Amino acid sequence: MRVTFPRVMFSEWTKFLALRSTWLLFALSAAATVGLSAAIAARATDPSSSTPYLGIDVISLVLGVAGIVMITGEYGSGLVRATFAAVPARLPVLWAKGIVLAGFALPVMAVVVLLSAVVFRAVWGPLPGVGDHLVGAAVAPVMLALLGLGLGALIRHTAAAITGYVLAILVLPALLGAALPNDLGEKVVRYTPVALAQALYTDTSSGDPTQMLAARPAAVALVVWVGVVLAAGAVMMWRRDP
Amino acid sequence: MIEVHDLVKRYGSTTAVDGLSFTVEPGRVTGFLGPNGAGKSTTMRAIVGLDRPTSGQALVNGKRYRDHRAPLREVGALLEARSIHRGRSARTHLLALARTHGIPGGRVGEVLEQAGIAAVAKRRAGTFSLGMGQRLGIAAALLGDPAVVILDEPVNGLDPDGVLWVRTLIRELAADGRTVLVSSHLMSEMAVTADHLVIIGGGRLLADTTVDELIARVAPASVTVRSPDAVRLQSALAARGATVSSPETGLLSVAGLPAPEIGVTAAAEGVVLHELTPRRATLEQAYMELTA
Repeated sequence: MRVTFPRVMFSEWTKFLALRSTWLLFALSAAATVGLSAAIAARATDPSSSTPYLGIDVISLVLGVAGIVMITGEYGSGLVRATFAAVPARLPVLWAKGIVLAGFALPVMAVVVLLSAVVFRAVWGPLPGVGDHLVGAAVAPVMLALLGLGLGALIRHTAAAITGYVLAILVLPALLGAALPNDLGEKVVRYTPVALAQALYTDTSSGDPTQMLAARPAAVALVVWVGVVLAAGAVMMWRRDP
Repeated sequence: MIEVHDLVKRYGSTTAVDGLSFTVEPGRVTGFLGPNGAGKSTTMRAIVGLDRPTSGQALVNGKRYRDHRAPLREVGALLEARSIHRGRSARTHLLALARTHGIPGGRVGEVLEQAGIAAVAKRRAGTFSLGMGQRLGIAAALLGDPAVVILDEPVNGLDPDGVLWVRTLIRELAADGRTVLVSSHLMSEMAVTADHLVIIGGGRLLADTTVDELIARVAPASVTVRSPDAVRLQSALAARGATVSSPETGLLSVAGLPAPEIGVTAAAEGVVLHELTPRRATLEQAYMELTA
């Protein structure tokens, strides 16, 4: 009988699946995303290959909040003290949460993305290049979920972390674009998490209005973001008394 | 066995624990006492690695808590009443903790049964009363069948049945040869459960002793004597070296002479006695005296 990393993962898996909110959140946002794809298909006049995935923006926001709550819920309820008493090394808990979250969200997102594409095709008709964005559209929300997890570990309070996430994801990119001189503003906005996530499933080849990065460099930059935020969260988790 | 060595914990400019050292031995119940803010909870949290000491250290069975490979096997702790997510059931909460150590699921059923909450094991913890939450916390502490059990205010919120259960449980754990550290602000509770006492105030050690020693040292025993001829008896007793006071006419409070000696003295003087009652100070009185 001793603590091992697979056991910590199994424990986190147990906790994750036992929450009603996990199921509710994933079911509702998945349904909303696919529904949005159908609604857009019904009204679209000149869709691009990434139009079926517009709903992914919504689920990205929701999964980020799921990542936040996965950790701030423990601090808020005091459960974190029981968790860290069982796993005094602390950091395996964060890594296990990340793996469980990604391991659950990725297959769900694969289905959601596939359904979005299928539904769009059924309503609007075949669209060339749709398949190119499947992987990016499935991965982007998962990356934002992991970003949320890191932010949760860093900030620890649910409301504060969600506020920070919304500011960083939604408000800041828009403000930066307006606040900085034209050229610089556009360059900086490209590297904000939300723009990078969207770049993973957006057709950037033809007349891109926001001048996003191409999918590959965007993926690299997003991984760096997630890595930095998770690392900062890990440092705080290790150093501060729960 | 718990060894606390020169433990110091500061939060900003406030010092919660100020150079505290004591040892908690196995096979007996050690009561951990002190006024609110004395540093009891901080010390207990430091023992299980939740609060990092500013300096000094706490060792459990010879190692720092976090250096143990199976910490729940070493120490079971009930810290604050609620260390439970409201959205999960009692069973899932315990199962998640058990799985970090590879503790079999059957053990979860055992501790739920032992804590008397098996019937509500599938209810969400958010619907639990204070007492049920407390029982779940104690069940979690017992989960790893630990050699050391730490309980912070375990009878908080419990009904009389629950108080009796905790009292019996604590005695049994110590009788098994485990190390048991229990904090409580209920002196009457401590007086019946604790063999040994560690009393702190302002983050420092005030006493590390047994209940009897503490009472004998801080608040000496006295004998209450009622007699129609109290004045004569008073001078006779004083002549034998007793310290005698008379709070009211006909009533004497005698210290420094045991009850039989007082009886003998009264007989020799031909004084009639209406009452001769040895008074032992309560733990509460001794504690008040010590922490005043």
